[in-house]
Amino acid sequence: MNRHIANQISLFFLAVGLILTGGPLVWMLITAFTSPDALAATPPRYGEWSLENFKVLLAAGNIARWSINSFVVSAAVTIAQTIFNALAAFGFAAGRFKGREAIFLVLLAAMMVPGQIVMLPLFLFMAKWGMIDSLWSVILPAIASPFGVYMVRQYMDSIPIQMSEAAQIDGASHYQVFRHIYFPLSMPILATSGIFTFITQWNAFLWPLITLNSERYYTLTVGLSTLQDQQMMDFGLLMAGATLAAVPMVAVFMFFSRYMLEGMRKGAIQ
Amino acid sequence: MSFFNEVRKMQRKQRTTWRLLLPILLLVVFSQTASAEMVLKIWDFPRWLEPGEKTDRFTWMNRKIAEFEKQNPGVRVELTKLTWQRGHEKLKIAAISGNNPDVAPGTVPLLYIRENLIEPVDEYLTPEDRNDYFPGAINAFKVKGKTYGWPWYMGGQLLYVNNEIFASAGVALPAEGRWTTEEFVSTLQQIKKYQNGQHGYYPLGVYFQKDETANLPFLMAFGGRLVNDEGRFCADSEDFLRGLGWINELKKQQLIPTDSGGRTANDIWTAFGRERRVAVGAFGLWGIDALKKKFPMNFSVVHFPTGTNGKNGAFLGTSGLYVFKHPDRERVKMAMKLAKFLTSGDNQKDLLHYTQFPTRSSAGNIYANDPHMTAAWKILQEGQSTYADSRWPQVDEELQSSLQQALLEKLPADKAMQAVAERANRILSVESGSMKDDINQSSLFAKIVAAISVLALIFALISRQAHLIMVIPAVSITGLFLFYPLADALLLAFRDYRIGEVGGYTIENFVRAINDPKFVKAGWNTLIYSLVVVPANVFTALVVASLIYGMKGWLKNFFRAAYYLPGVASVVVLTMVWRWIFNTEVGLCNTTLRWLGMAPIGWLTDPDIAFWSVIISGILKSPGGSMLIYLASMANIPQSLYESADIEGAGPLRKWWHITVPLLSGTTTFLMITGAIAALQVFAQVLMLTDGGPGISTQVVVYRVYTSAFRDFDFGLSSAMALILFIAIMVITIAQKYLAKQDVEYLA
Repeated sequence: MNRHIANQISLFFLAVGLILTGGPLVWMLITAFTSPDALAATPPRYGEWSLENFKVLLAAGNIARWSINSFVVSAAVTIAQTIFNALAAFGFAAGRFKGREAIFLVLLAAMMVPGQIVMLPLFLFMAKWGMIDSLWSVILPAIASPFGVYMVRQYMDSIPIQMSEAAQIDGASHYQVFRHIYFPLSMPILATSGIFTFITQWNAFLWPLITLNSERYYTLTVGLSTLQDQQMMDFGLLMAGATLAAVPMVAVFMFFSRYMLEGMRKGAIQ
Repeated sequence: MSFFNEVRKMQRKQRTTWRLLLPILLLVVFSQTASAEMVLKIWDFPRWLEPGEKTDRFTWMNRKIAEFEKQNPGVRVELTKLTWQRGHEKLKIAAISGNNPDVAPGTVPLLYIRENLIEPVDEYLTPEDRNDYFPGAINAFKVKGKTYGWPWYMGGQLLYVNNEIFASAGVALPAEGRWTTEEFVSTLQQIKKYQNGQHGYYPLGVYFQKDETANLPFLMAFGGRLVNDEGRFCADSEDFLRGLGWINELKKQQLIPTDSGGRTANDIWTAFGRERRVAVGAFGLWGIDALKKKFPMNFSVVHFPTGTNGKNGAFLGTSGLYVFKHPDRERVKMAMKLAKFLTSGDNQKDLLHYTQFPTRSSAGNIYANDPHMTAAWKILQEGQSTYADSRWPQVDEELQSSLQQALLEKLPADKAMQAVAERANRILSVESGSMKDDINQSSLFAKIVAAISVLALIFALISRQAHLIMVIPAVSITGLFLFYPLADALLLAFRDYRIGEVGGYTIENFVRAINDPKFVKAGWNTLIYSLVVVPANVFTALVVASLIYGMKGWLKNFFRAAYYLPGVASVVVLTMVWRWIFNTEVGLCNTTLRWLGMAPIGWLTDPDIAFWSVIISGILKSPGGSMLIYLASMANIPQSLYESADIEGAGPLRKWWHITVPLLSGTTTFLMITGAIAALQVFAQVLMLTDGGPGISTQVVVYRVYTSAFRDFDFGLSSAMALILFIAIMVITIAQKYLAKQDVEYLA
């Protein structure tokens, strides 16, 4: 009985919280699917649904191109990070070389450096090497992440060293140990950090905003912010753009959520 | 050797190397196929909508480019679309990094001329051209005897009057469009009476923001000027202060919105053109077109009211296209040809759609049948031209934010203007050389970092340490893209490069940073933001996770997904939505308030509220990742603890407070650290919601770091501020790491 009431109360609080935190996105959807004429009226008439905003947007903008760019950047960074982070994490977890902990500490220290402090010199540096205004300028600085190495190493540390010792007695090389033991066993954490990386890259804003000048190289976030600047008052169009940017991430989450939750659970247990 | 040329030279050398190297590194290749044709790059701002177009403001430009390509086989022209908000910034960034286009638009590009980046057009101007141009137009592009651009159109800002409101209120329009300040005020008072105190209804709307000169003539009605004949900034003069006092008086009588200092051109335009809550407002010439087509209105354009000096102060500006220097003479010639073609007399006839005035007499009187434009031309003829100085944008930013503060009564008017005069004159007095040379010097520190990486790699390869080799890619990438620039940032922060002296080290940048009122405000704001938003977010995550953890079956899965999902949307998307919700005139919040019969709130325009709106948008977001981490940690709490608590008869709340919360304290600390680090770097929300305004009320540290680097090009100051932020983050991280350690001991 008591339990039932408690359940009702928590249901109520959860519903209220959901309205507050998810509300803006619902409002985005409502606006995006309302016809432009109804929106322009004073007061606006809600409830007149149409796809007009999306039609105008897709006809005019470069949304498709920007989405492809965002996808290319996110996918390239995710793949590269998965490989480099896993390799490094394995090196730290299974290696016994001199200066291992010192190098690891230096890497950890890098986690404290905020992106903004290196932004300007990095920009000048990349300009010098002619990498500004291309997708490389967004991809390259992100292809390894100290945080990723840290996370994966924590996980790999829990893999018993005896396993790799046994494999080595059987004649396996270090690389084979990595390839056939550590890499597959670390799949849950690699999937989790991969999905996070993908989402982070998809949502990255400040750095692409600075380095990408040509519209054909814009990522979706940069493109949308320029769209906002161009169509200041056309909120229907803006919200349609925002919807198009948000939907792929929702799909990614839906699709991978099982792996992700599993990775988090295991990560937390170990 | 200037920095820019150096960069360009290097680029030509390096580009080939990268093209060869990178495809091996990654799978996707986005390089352009090389071809024999010449590719000219032109950047342009959005212009007019051609008949039948709904969104694309570049159709004219694209059509003209196609014509040009047809006339000049072998030439391809690539258009980059700029926005009015960030276009100038983008162009600056591109120019400094050597990625500038061949042709770019704007008023006389003084900054680039100083940096020796612009090709003079004199040798390409025929005598016919010179005769064809209106003298004022060509003079606007003259610097030290040379002409640096092809004048395209002239425009300006005027006072617009809604005739319908005037008629309904029974007030007459000013005779011949001229009025004195007294006549102006009494007209506004009559309109005020007619509007009868409705919420959001005002006789006049004004706005003061960066790059907007539209409303400055009000302040200059009593003879005040921005810059005197000696080139000194003098907006602290008595005459100017009188103008400011006069506007403040209008505010006290509620003839303009009480939060006028925070209003943007967009707000006032919406209120005037779309919602018609405002009867008079100052806008650019584009308003004439908009009031004929998009928001049809019976309107007039009139002179600004004149006070004691009897002069009309409307601002007149000339825009054109200019050509960047390039070692390839043929390319420059072709770029000149393109710029000349686009601004030819024939093509200027199309300015009819843009409601701007031609700069060539051969375009003819394209507005003969347009009474509004004819009146506007007469008014602007008596106007003043904008002050031309490459340092003006920086002064303008100071000026406008001080005006905002004075109007919002954050500062007394005279104090605000004296402060801005002092800063402006300092900016104007520094004969800053070009920012060349020494940015380019690679720092010793940075070289050492690179050398160590290489040595380690060689060592690892020689000693055949497989593990070490595996570690090296990640470490050297971090070294290259993090430690190397970090070292550079350290040096930039201590370098006095603005004056252009190589090798001068100073702590002046830090002194300037802590004396910069915007940075101080930014520091406080960032602190408040972190102190409010981080605990709120973590607490929300904890409560939501606890509630969801107690759920069963599909409800649990549903809530977990529903709470997490909004978190995958980017901050850019969410901020766009918040901007729409907070919009003063048509947003959800104020529409609801009006519907409830309450006074609308200036969510983003009232300086006392704007930052709290930013904070609200920070709090009301998905607890996403934190919630998942809490859920995972909760699964690790031994069930037996709850069972024994059950036996002792503890209620759910007590169990939560005495078991769940303390056992999760490790997770809480972790989330607080990561949350604080993220919150200290808040940026995108501010950039997109308020752009740091109104006044300086929503400045945050990273925003200030960004603007001082990429808007003001003050790299030393920017790096110094970034370094201060870095130290703050480091202190917090270390402090919290220490706290976390104590926690563990306590639990054990």
